[in-house]
Amino acid sequence: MSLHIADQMAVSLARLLRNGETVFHGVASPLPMVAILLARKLHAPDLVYLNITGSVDPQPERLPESTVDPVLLAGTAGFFELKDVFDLAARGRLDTAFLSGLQIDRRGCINMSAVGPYDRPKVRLPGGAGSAFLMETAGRVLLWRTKHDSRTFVERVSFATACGRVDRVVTPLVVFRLGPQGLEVESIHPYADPELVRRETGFPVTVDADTPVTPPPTEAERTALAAVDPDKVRLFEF
Amino acid sequence: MPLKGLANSSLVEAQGFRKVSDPYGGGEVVVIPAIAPDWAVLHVHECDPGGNAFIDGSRYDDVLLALAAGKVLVTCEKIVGNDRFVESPRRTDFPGFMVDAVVEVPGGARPTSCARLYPYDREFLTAYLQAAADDARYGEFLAARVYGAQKGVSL
Repeated sequence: MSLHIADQMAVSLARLLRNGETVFHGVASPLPMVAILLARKLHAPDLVYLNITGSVDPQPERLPESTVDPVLLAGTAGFFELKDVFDLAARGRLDTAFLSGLQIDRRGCINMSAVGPYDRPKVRLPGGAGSAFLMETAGRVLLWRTKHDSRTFVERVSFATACGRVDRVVTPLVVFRLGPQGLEVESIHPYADPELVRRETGFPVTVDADTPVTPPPTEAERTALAAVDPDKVRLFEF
Repeated sequence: MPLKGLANSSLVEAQGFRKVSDPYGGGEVVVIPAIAPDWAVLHVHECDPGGNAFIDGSRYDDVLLALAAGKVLVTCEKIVGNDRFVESPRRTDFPGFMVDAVVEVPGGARPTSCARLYPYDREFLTAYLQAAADDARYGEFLAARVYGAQKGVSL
């Protein structure tokens, strides 16, 4: 997987974050970690960065591949633990949560539990951790997935681990927005082929010559990205 | 325990979670049963002989686990004197009266990490992952890398 796809995804996720909002990511989330740090360096210096280690606005010297690594405690002045994050979300004060799913459907529901019957699954998935809760309590949810194919993006997940307040979904090919009819292509990445997007999405999508193209990373975004992620941890999920 | 969220999840049906009407007018809420494990086994940085425990990093759900379990076994990097806890009681993560047994096990979190002391052991975990793919190889792995490990020698 080439670097420019990871760069495009990190930059696209970062652009969705707003200055001053409170944002959380959990385990196995290198791209959201990079995107949050990138947004803080660019347009959102006052974004509050919470994560599963319990640190607040950490300033790690090097980025870990595992987002539960104690490296993510560096620079925190206190702890805001997972139970506190959940309570914050329940109070309606967690603005944005990053989640993902092995499968994501047209409604924005995610499957992290099982492929096939739940009691006798063909594949047992890792489980949703707190997604079923955060999906309905965070102000909005940003989904990301580094694989875009018709087994991942399906019409309807067989098991909806979590369903709720999805705002956008960022993939290697497009940015989806959740509209009244479900996920729709908001923009297609500059290198992606519309035919490929249609073929690799398991539900009907409109993508043609009129579809906006995701702006590629700017010079400023590239420079900031190189500064926050010099070890290219953003490639880890590919 | 009532829980906000979760109502849209297939987990409610799959796990048999019930919904009740919020008596204070908040609509319908999912209620989940308490998890009450017989034992919690927790690894911490410091303990005193009475089981007072200090975690020098992320606590995750460890404190909740200690308070939810029937019995608690704590392993620690180092057993220290009770005076360490008495002189700064706010750093105590859970008190000794909740603990049933304390064992000093330096390196006890390996092959996972212990904040500020050692990172997770990527080589070991990768080897485990590969070996766990079939029973015979997993048996060899356990014999060589776990049961066959020398005392005092890193995994």
